[in-house]
Amino acid sequence: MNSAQPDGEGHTSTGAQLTPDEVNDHKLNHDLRASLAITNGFNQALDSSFSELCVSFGQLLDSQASSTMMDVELVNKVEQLEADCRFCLSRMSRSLEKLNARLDSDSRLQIQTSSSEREEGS
Amino acid sequence: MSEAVLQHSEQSQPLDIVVVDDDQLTLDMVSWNLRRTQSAHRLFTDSEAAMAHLCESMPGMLVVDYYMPTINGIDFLSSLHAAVGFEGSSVYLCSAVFPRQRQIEQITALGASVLDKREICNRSALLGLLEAQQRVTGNK
Repeated sequence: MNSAQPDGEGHTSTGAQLTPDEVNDHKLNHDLRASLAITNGFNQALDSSFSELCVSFGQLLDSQASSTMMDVELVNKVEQLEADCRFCLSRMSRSLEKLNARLDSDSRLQIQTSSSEREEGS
Repeated sequence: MSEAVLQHSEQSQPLDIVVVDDDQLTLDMVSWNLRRTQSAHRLFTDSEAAMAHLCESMPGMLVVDYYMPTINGIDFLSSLHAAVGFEGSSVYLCSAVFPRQRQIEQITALGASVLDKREICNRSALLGLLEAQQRVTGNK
């Protein structure tokens, strides 16, 4: 994914011509920041869903302590919030996997670059 | 900005939003952030399907990702602008890195704006943007 080049190298007229390395750096920078933004977004979503879940679960426990009747609406809300937390956690996990993969490819690129520079220097 | 305020303004004029991004996780994030609002949103990972849809119907707000597999966001917006124009729509190029000056000039010339990807991934920021958008739409 993310293979189009908005800048330089033959694809478009949208900017100053860049070297292929500069285009790769720009794209990698974009992808890493995008992964971070998504990870942060789901982290915030999980945080708020979990806080809501804690409050609703507390209310459910209180209502059960004071009555033998189950508050169906409250139970449904807790179940929904639990599902929300699972959703956020799974997406955060995927975002982190993607971020790791991108960081891994960045490390490989850097190792390749330093190897080529060393070869050119010798 | 509160969600109640947003929903109140939506009652007068619901905002329709289209987001085009090849990253499904980004669309999941946007979808999550827009739930519990009354905005109608359509999300596309496929830029060609998005272009076909947009040529039929331009939304009140359009957000297009910068890096996509088959076309970049600026070229996508240029083609769309040539086909249907952006009148009546607020159009954003979304990027995790700030575009270069020349690209910003091109985006501005199309009547579009640059949007930081962090803004669509943050619920408060996105709802704030929608609220501001609805005020603009309401004032027209």
